[in-house]
Amino acid sequence: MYIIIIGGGKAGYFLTKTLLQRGHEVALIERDEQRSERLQEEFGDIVVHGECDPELLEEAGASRADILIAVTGRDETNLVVSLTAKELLRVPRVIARVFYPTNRGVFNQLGIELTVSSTDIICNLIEQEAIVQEILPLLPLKKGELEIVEIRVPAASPAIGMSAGSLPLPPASGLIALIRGEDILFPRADTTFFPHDTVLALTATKHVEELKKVFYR
Amino acid sequence: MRLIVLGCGRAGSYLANYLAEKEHEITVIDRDPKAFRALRKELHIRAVQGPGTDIDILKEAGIERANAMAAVMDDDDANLMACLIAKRLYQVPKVVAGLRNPRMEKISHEFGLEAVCPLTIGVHRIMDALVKE
Repeated sequence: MYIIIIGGGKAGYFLTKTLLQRGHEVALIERDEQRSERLQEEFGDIVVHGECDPELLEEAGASRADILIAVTGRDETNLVVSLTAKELLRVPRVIARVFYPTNRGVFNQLGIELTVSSTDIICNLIEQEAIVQEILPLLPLKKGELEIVEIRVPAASPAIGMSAGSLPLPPASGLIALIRGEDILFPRADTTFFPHDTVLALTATKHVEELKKVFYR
Repeated sequence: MRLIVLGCGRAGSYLANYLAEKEHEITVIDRDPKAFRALRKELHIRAVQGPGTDIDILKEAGIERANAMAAVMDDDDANLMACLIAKRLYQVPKVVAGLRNPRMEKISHEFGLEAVCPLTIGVHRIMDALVKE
């Protein structure tokens, strides 16, 4: 694949290195002259020094890029670059790093759906360890209308002993997988639930509470 | 006008003071509370402290009821982001960005945003003055 990376800081650097090792074609765009010189010493011509505007992106081959990744140090810049790539240059996939968690919603609403927020990732990891969380949202899709969620099935769950096919699931919901200990199962209509199973489900965000009631009293 | 001004620097404070005197309802946002000293006290212009691209700050400043916004912060990307939020997410009728970098003017227009680059205008005026008899 041909991948354009915007921002030659730590994230951009390691992304470039890793993607090249995996055999992809990469261009790295960095605004700071000294930094881009150091990057050029390591990566050569694929490093472009300049301010990211449509002309520079075109020169860097945006029209044939498969993915553009915006990993500068600022949400504002990542947003402008992402929208430039998506709307003006029609790059098929755009991924943006977001620092302020509230900005994820903003990016999504403006059309940048693939966002990565370290704060959210780390918080989710922390919360996955906390048994208190009954339903854990994992991944928002479709501008937040759909969610993939993780549900731990408690010992006293109404779903214990029921088969997947007879569960009263809410509308726009489906079970994706069942994790039991070390095993991953793909539930069929006759699959039953055991305590401490973890269910991965896809559901419309507005039906999350109803889905929770299927597994919790 | 119910106007939100983003950035209380020279441009922002000038805009706010001028328009507040003309009895428009102005709210100014700036990250630095010291910047608000440039606002004329007798005009009672509402000041909200915080980043102009923070959606919670924008809501506190009344973006849901605003009918105009001027983004004149010292960072062009921030001005564009704020304008996109105002125009596309809150349908603020009149949104204008004041940009430092002339190259950003074109990008704004392609996003359907109104943008003014004071530098370009200023340079043209200087050129006119030089050429005039």
